[in-house]
Amino acid sequence: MDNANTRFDPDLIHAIFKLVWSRTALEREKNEGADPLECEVGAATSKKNRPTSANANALKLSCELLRVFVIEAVERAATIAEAEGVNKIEATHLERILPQLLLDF
Amino acid sequence: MEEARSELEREEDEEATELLRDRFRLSTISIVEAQAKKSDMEISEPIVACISDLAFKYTAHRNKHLASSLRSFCNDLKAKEIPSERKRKKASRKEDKASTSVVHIPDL
Repeated sequence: MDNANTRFDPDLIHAIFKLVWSRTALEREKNEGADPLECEVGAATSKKNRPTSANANALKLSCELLRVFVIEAVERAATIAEAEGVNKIEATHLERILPQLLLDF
Repeated sequence: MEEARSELEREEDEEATELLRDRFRLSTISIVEAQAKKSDMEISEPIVACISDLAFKYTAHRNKHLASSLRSFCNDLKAKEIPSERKRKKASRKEDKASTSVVHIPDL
């Protein structure tokens, strides 16, 4: 049964996204600053440099995607542990499922 | 002077990242423990921390990749759009605005 404790907080995910976006924007500014010809474009680039944002539904969906990612990691590792006849998930179980998990996501 | 400022900014950035990572880790721990309980399994602490870090990096990496893909897709579309089409869209948007502000006077 899902409850509030088993979900990611959309505000937290939004904060992480904003951190990544601000870093990316800074990198882009540095790259554009290095090439003076790029700066001459002027008004045309102002829309390109608008900060990225995400609406409420996008954040909810992102939270759900991350929740599913975490649950899949646990479930797949648990399956391996169960097959080995143990009831504790260890590093070796996680190692075995990681490649396919990252490919699937 | 500029080096000192960028060093300070970098430190603040790292601090912010650490704080977010800790909060994210707490949420992941709740989700992982709830799921392990459902499967009737135990899960060792280092594995929980590992899954949390993995999910955190996945969030950042996926987001960066998705944002740059969307941006380049948007720029490609704008580049392909014919200038006359852009002017037509602008004109129709202005007309829509104008029509909503028109006052209809009924015939008496």
